[in-house]
Amino acid sequence: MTKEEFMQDYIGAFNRGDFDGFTRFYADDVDFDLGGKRRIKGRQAIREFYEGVFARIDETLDVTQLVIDDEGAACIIVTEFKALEDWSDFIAGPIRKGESIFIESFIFYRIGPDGKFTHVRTARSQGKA
Amino acid sequence: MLFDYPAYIEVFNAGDDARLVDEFYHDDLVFTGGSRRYEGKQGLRDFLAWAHDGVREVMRVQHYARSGDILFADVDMDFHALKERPDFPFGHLFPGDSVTVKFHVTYRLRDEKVVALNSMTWPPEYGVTKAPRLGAHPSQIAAYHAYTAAFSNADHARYSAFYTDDVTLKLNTMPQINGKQGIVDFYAPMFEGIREDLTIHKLLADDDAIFADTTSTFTALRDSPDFVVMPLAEGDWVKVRVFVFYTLRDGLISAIRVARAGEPERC
Repeated sequence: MTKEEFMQDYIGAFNRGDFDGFTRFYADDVDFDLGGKRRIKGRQAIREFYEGVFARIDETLDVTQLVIDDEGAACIIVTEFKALEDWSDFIAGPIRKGESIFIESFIFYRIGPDGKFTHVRTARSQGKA
Repeated sequence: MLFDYPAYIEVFNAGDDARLVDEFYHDDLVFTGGSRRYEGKQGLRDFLAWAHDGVREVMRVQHYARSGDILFADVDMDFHALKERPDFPFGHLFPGDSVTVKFHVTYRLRDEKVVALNSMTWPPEYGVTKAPRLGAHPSQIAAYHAYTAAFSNADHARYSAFYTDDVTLKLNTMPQINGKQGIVDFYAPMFEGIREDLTIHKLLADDDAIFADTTSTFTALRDSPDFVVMPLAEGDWVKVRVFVFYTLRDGLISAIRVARAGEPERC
């Protein structure tokens, strides 16, 4: 996977809300660890998780640093969560309609032999409302 | 199958000495160096085990050519120390040291395996090219491990030699620390009471950045009630999983960012 593919086809698809586009990067049994707060197993479960989030939040990723090789990718991402409605128990923190939360995370993707993400692990660096 | 020198280089540079000897050497091999002679695969294995004890050796081949059963290579060989080696042939090495030596190597092949290996060297650092210290090449990745060895050894001069003068360090629990001297001034008093050992689970590197999935293990050499992670009594240790991003400039670290990837585990 090249940096261009990661940025345009994965991050780009996520930011466009193209579920087919970004979830095709995940292995069927991908293990997705959201900073120890939540753990999601499998591509379909990740898709369902984000379908639930995107119905209530505009989520936009801004990659500020990226390094990649055949076995993994790692990036620093600033995520903007913009609420479409009030959400008091949102995973990134309570948020009111129209507000944005910005969170910076380090994300590490392990890439399997078929080029798909097999493990995704996030670590929160800092956040600001 | 023809002897595949690029594949040989790849295995050599991966540090997989067992595979190197098994796949590329003939049972009847003889290795002759300046003052050394080893016979057979076991002889070469024994030599490599000694030479690579705490030292990563990585080839940067400048030229090579094959004629018949003879292959000749002009190699700039980088050695990166992960532990102290007072007996190392190219000088007393400490963790974090690197030295480059010109090797002229002749491989004689039989049945497309190396049956005779003759190497000659020039004095350390004489007539060699130098790669930027850190980056994507296997030698530069080995140099990163030497950096972590110097850091774990609390050798401030050696680990800080991998930094630009204007390096920044951002830990997620602390204000940003600025400059090479600022980082040394932060760690020097901490390392009087605490030793930090880095275990790298996964490393990704290119010429612009390094990412390390790391466990930092902090061991208290004495009671450290003010330690930033948590108060520790003498002999206590705590582990923290961290993701570390290093930004590189001209092969040196110009920025370090650290995020916790798990809760501290007291042991």
